[in-house]
Amino acid sequence: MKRYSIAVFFFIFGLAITGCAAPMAPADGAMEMEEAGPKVLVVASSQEPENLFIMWGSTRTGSDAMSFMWRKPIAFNGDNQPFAEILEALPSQEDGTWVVDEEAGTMEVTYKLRQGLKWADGEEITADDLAFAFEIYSDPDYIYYSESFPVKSIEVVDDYTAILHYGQINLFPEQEVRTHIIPEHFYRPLWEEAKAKGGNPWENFGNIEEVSIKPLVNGPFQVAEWVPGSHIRMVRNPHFNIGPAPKIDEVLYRIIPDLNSLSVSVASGQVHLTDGWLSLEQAASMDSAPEVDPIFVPALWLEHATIQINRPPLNDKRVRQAMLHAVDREAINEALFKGQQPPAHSWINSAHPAYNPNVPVYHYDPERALELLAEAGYTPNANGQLADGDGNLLEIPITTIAGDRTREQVAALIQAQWQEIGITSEVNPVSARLLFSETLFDPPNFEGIAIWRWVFNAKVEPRSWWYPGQPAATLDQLFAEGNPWAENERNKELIDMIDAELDQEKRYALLQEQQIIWAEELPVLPIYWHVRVATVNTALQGYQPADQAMVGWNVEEWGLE
Amino acid sequence: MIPTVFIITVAVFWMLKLAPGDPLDLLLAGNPDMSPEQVAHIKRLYGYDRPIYEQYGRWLLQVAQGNLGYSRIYHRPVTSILPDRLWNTLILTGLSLVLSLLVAIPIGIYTALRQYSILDYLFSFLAFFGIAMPVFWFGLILILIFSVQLQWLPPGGHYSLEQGAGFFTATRYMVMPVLVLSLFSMASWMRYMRSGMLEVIHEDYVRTARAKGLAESMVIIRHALKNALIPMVTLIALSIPGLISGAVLTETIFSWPGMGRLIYDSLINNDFNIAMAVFLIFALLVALFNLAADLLYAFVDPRVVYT
Repeated sequence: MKRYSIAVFFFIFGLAITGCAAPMAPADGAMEMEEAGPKVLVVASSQEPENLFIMWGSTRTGSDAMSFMWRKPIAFNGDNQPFAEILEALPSQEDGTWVVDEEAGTMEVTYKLRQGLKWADGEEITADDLAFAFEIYSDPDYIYYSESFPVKSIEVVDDYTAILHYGQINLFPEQEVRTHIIPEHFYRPLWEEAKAKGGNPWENFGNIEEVSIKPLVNGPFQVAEWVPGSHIRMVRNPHFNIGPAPKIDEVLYRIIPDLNSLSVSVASGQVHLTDGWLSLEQAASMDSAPEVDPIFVPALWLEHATIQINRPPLNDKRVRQAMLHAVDREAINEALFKGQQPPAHSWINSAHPAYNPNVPVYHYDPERALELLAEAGYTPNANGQLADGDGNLLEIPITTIAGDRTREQVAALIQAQWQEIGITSEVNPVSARLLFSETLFDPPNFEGIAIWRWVFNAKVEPRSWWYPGQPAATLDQLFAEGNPWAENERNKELIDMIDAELDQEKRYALLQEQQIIWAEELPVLPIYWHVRVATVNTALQGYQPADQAMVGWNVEEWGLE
Repeated sequence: MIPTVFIITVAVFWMLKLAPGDPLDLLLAGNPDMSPEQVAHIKRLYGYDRPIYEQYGRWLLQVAQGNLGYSRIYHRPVTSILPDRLWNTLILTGLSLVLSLLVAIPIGIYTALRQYSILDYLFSFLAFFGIAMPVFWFGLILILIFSVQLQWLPPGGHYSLEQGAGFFTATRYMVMPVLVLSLFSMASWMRYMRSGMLEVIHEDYVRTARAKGLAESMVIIRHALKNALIPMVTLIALSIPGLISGAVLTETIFSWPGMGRLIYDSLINNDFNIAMAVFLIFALLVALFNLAADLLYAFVDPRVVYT
């Protein structure tokens, strides 16, 4: 009898488990859909949004989640073009809504709001809401307060008209996505209360549930529940009238921190959409899931190597040029990225109209690399290692982010190819925290190169990146006075001219000249352009990604089959 | 106990602050619109620019007033986040503890009594498999089989994903995480139980009990098992604080919002208020359960007497 007791125990235990394991519907939300219940869109991210207040977002996951709930005066669409979302039209010089005073160096931009638009509580959206958002923006207690924000004041003309007074000439008022609109009638009392409370007013304001967790919004969806670490459930905003009423009933924004688990959830049909979280490799593995379409969205994310440009050997541009010639970036693209992430030749993406197709291109050419290095004084020693006349080896260490598999692979390939021509190199992986603090900044503390990513926007403004003395940001000390790049007068001159030029075509021509200097000097080594990987379940219709557009910019047009 | 907890909090606070960088450095690196001036402004707002002792003093004063502060990640009071997370973790780890005990103790006894039998070899093999199997890999394999291939169970997430989830729905979300979490303890406790039983069943007092003509079940339960359980009590008591701290890997693989992930996220994001509150609770629990384990000895082992 006892002999069978264990077998009986396991039998009962097995029954209990299989009893719970009822056959499963394709998605958590889809389960409800099959029962003709609400249509639930499941979107997944590997990071938790930090908050859901439109004036506070700083991470991509936060912006993604907010894109289902907030609408702005100006936004970007799926063709990477700005469009008037709450405004009647984009400001333009032709219709007099953008007036430049070149003598005074100032300008005025008129925002005309569409009439009859509503907040989620049914109150109307007015110009006072725009002015109130600016009032917070201009308050030194605001978290992202900046004296350099170009708009200096907002004048409310009537309920639907406001004039933005710029303290300087700004080339892109029709692309100004930093102007926000928040419901004044709802948030002013909370803001005043936060200020009256003492201490840090922004912290007091941000800790209010109606600000950071359940904000009063104007987009197609609003927060119904946020379970930290699990999901945000968004339901339809009953008063939404900025666009058509959404076809789906709920958005379930899931947080799945482990990327393998996220990938499996996509493959098993549990998640309809991920945007920018999975790797190319994981997207490629979706071949076995016919109901999942991987989409590769060209992005203005430049994978590059920051260089110790102030010290030998990398203060010599011939060495920098040789380093690029010695790396087969096309082969890296094919081997690691299945041809999706092409080599970068400039700081402007080749798909951008300002790109100069005639910039010097550093194709894989080890012999040319050796010639350049010989000109710079580095020749092979008896061991085949490149060394200068005093016998000092040409050493170029590579710093990259530990645990980032792709970057570690790229670094290893670069190291191997440099070693082939005699450059001594080693890979130093450091944690992201260390790289973005003591290694790159405050002040830079590394030798050789450091591989990481810069995110550009479509406005292609070179000043903050390539003008010595500007925030360039934060890496300014790498472009310190004394190195040839920092002292390139023509580069500075061109950037001054680019900033003053209002004609787009002329501006692009100046940018093209600046790119030639840049590519000749190579202040950083461009490696490749990233793509953003999205995975879309075939049940989802209408999703239209673009680099500049927020994920849910047109969610009201999406449908679920 | 209080000085121990105090020293732990000082050490943890100091170590947290020693870690290089803060979340703002990451913002600065990836956001071209964020100027160093704005970053400096935010650092001032959050007090990152103040000396460590001053930051610790402010935290301690706050805690003394019963206020654990606000989470910088979740923008809610720490006291409103911890209960849900703790509950989620307790469900998961509590069930895995019960399952581990229900499986490990009977099998441990059985394999000791039937040493070198086929089932003993089989369970030994399974125990070594459980000890050697990486949690991460085992979890993913289960997901691939039960979620992707068979589509029986959800691949992860919390049952609150489904509105109005009942007992069976909730159970479906917990089957795989509980199995994965209990695998290691089930396997190792099975081996402890087996060796504990093997040690005592050859003792003189067990032979005497048999010689007295007691039924075999009485000999095993009242004489052998009671003594074999003594080391198990220590093991279980010391594993309870671990239950509260959650299981980072299991919670991460199955997207389960428990304490393990909360700690991990708070450390990665420098959410000091959460991290400090959690470590404070852990320090108290470890001290408390060590004391409980000592007291339990007196209960299970009559030779131990506290005077």
